[in-house]
Amino acid sequence: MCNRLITKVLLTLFLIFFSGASITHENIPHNIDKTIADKCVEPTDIMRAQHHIFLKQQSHDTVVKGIRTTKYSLNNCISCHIQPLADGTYPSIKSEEHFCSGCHIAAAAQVECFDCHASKPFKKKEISKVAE
Amino acid sequence: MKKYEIKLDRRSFMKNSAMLGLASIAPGVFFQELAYGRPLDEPASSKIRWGMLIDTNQCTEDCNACVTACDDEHGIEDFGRPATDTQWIRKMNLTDELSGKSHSLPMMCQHCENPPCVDVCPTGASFKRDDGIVLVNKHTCIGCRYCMMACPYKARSFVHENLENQVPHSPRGKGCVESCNLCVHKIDNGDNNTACAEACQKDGHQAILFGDLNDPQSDISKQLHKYGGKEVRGDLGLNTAVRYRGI
Repeated sequence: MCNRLITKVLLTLFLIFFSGASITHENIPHNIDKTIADKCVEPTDIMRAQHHIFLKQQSHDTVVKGIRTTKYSLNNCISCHIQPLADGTYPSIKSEEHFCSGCHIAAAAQVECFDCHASKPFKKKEISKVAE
Repeated sequence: MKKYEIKLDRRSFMKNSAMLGLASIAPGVFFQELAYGRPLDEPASSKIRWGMLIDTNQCTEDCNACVTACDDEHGIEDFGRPATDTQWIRKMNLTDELSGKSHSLPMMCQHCENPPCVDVCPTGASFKRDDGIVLVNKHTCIGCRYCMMACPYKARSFVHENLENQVPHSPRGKGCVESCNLCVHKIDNGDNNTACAEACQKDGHQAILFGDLNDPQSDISKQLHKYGGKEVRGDLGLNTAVRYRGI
């Protein structure tokens, strides 16, 4: 009887500690501009839970209907959330320093947006490099 | 009781009249912008049908400006594999066997009114937008390539390679079919011209004219009315939005 109780308590403690750690993502090195951190289009808890819903709706509106509002556009997310590293380059989508990848790697949820979409802010120079 | 005093010194008078002036100018500036393109939050309208008129007499065989401009605009890379490399627009040379007269012309998605690619798509990814632009919704495309087989113009390409450094306004990726989108991002942002047409005008050929086919006052409609414009494979009854002169 006593053993069962101890197991239950341990299990509960384990769940509290480890699930808590994975939800808050406190240890992920988000490379975000702290001065604009609270100026997102929605509060942080809503963005964490529903950003994919906003993006999916926006993608349908833009591709099918031709609506180009920027509030929930992926390019708008990228322009704020992806900042250059200390050496001036943008973080790769494969590294944890990329804002999207940081959480997605921790949560083991594969992010496929950037198979097609640009994962860093737009610079005119890069186009001419491709053209050469 | 508090008294509200009206300040009438020189400084506040100047300040107030300046603000009044700005307020009266603002709507004019705002409406001018609206008239140029449709507002960003408004969907594409079926009142418009975008199209192109290509004058093959102005197009020269050695010029490739439209192809280069398209590649630049959409970040299309060349992997040195011509059989599978992506091509949204290509240059073709036609020679009449009898007379020996040759024509050079750009060939791309013809943005048909009755597009065969849309008919055959099993997922609905290939679709025609309200303003007549035929597009691929890459979120639903499964890469089956039926549309490529159905297209009489060989206008579509399948992306065979892993891509990096895509441009934000033109998302492209491996496993999807894609084709000319009439620079839909430029249209939506009010530019009302395509990269190829701009490049052609810049090079002084004026061979590509872009505009609204439904507006009788647009340059393209006036020219079509005056000189006519031929459909490539007009026998198929697709009613293409890209028309050619001189062939």
